Amino acid sequence: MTCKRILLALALAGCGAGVTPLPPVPPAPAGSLDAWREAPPVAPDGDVALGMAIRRVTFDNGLSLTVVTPKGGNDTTAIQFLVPSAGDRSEGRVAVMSDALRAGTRMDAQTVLINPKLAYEPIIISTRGVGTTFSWQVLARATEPALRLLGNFVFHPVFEPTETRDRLQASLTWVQNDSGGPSHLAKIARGSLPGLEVPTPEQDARGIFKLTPDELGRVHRCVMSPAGAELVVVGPLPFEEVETWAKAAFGNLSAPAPRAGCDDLAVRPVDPESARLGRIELGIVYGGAFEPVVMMSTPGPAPSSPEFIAFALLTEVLRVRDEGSAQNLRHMGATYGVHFNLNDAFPGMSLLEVQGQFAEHEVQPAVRQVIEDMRGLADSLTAEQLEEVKRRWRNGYVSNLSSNGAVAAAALWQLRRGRSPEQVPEWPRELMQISLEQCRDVARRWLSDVHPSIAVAGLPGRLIRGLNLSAHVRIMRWTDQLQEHKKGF
Amino acid sequence: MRASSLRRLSLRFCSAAALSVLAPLCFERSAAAWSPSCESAERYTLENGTEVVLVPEAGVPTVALVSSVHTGFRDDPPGRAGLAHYVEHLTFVGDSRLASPSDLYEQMGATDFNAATSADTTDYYAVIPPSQLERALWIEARRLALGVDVPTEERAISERRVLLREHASRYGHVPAYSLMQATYAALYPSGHPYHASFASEDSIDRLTLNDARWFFARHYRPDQTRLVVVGDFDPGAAKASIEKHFGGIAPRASVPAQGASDTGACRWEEAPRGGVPKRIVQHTRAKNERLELIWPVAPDEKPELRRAEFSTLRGELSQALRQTGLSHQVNAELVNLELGAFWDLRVEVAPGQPFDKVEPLVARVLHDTQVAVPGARDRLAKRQAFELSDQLMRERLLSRARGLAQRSCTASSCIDSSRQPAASGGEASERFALGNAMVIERRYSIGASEGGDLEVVR
Repeated sequence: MTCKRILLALALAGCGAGVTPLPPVPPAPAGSLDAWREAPPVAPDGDVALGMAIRRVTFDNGLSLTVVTPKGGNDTTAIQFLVPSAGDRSEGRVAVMSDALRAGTRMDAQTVLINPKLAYEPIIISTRGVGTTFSWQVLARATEPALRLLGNFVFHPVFEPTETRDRLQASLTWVQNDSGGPSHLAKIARGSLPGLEVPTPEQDARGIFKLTPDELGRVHRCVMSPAGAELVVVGPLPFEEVETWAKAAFGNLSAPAPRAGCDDLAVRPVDPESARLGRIELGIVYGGAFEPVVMMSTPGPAPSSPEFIAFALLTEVLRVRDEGSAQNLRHMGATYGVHFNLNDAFPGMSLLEVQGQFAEHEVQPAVRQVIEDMRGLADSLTAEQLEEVKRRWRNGYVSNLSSNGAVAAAALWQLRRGRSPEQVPEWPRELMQISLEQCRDVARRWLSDVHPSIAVAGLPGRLIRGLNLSAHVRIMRWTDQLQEHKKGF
Repeated sequence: MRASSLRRLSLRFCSAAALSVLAPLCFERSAAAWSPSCESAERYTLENGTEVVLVPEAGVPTVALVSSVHTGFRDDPPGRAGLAHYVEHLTFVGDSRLASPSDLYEQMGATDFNAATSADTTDYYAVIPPSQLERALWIEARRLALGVDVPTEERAISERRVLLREHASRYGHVPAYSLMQATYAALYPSGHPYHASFASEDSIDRLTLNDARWFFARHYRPDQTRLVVVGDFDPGAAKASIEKHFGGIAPRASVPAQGASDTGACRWEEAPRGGVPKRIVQHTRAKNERLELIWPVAPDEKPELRRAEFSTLRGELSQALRQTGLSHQVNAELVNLELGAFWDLRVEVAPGQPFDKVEPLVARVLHDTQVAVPGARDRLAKRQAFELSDQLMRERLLSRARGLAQRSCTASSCIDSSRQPAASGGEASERFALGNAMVIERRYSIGASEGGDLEVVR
């Protein structure tokens, strides 16, 4: 056996010297472009008829069931179950507990299942500020056992000690494996946003270390209740049949009264008006092996607010319009992309998030451009820009409805907005009625004087000097992948 | 003791509990999983060689369109890794006279429009309302006709900077990228198109607009293009539009070849793999350790028939490693490259666990699982899993269209991938034995250099 050290630079990178030039290829004559100047006109949008039967019922314990039966479609059932207010303000304990539900599901006095699956398909769990969502897609003929299993999975966990330890170790492995990449850098930046007191449900290593089966049981008792929970079932099944199955699986659960000792896990709605900052707050985290990641956040209206859709459209305009900072910074070669995203997973508010990764010397002008872009949007927004993003949103929404899973998510989203799930097929029409003036008014209220919270993670050595924005700056250091960062000045 | 208690719990799920708790799932029909070769599609070729694949089906009013060029980073000339990707970026550039494809798509409310450069193909795709199909076909025809004649030198330079940013944001300075390069360099013989196909900051920085024009003229030819349309559209009208917009496109002037795969790429599919080293070890400062096993797919092997077996192996390994606490994350996939596919199994070692105990356990589970005869209930669960994945795949128009765009050196007929291969289940052949695999270790070492230190064992 021969062992051989390889010097990476020599073995893999190659050397610039000696690269053979490619033969010159002239561009096509200028006239040849003429034939392709005029695109076929944009065809008018046809009316979209999305056929589906939708019914909803609320059980005595406060849990509501929505059944959507699409016309056509395939032979699968999509299930989404949202247990609200299952977020927390402290290191993601609810997220870890929700994942640890896999450590034992009591079906009856004799039977405990570990991480139950149907046709090898596990339940997908996602915890965000507004609650925990359990999603599952199963064969339609497996709907009844799936609902039975899901009810027990969420409300009758066992937290078997050795299994629980394994689940916590698994969570730790996920955190650690993720810790070398740019997504982790973005997570650190998000977690370091100064001045914004919003729940952060993402799990981290510190939270995992503190959890025991007893503590998981306490967290479960505090947050998992049928009261206010929403069960959405989409598939080729009659309402009456699904209602019978759902009632058997969920209808007999009692909603516990508010318990003592749960205050630390209570999620109170955040008022976006009072959460807005009066000055720019800037946090800087040193560390990492990547170019700096910039994260900017500012509060926006709640999903149930009449201003929400207009605000979401403004976010899209900022992301895609050619005249804006996102495209301009990309065309300059300053970044691979600036992502404007409206995070609507907080109780009582939304959060406009901007994320980008830049060459170090581009960070400062990029931050300034993005802020100016947001502040000027009320005046610079055009009818064409708005129409384009409305059409894209509408068409993307319609296209997604080919999937039962997407229909279930759309129904849950309407419910979270305080609307009826019957709004699902009507939503494209509602969207297209949003006007330019509405959007400009919303931009004036929320963006014209925006003071975002900004975090930069990476090696942003030259950011502070000359930023020329009235900003409060704190500097942090990322000392270890597991310990995240500690604050310092 | 612990293992037996867990085994008892899971056996309950698979046997008694399956009857009492989940009885309706048993003893029912099932079907094969979706695969491009089994898709019922109309396929034909235009006079200029452009292939067309149409899958009309009524349903939600939407259409997925893919214009796929049979070239990718395997065709990057020596010293110019990243060129195929650069060309992809430049075809999106517009100017004051000619709107960019992105602008044209945005105006008509398209969603999901983008492009992806892989080793073997460069796919341009969009999801559109059916009424916009004519315009979308025109956009893709224009892309093929205009090539990279629109960008100026200045715009080409700024797009190169975007590529550099993309490279930095994806790979940074982490050791994982160099390990991936070392793996490909070891897996494919010298001269093979995948052998040294990874871009670096240097190779990207060297790219010019003339390079892009050469690449386009050489590889973006009508007879290297495949158009795929899947969704709710009128096939007669689509055929007429395709003929109208694509039928008149001629190849660019001939330019000389450069690079490993430029002539007769498929000959590399038969390339011997005898030189594959047994083991690559990377010492890094990162604490997340990993054991990875790779089995090259033989030229005459039909990997579709082994997907179920590979998936079972992953499940068994996952369970065994979890029970011992050695690992809680096992990933497995078929990396389906046209000129040399491989099976890839990755075990993420749990923090603080002894790395050296992982490999012997993996070897034992691989052996035990492959010689065991699967029970009837296991086989049923697998077939139901295939049926479910098939149903879910049919919802995903764009994924299906992209699957139909993939090329193969050998024409393949429809294969029922839910069938077990003849060799598995108690027979002597162990396809996925540790002894046949290339082993890749990522080990924590406090003294390692920042970029990681590589060691290759032959």
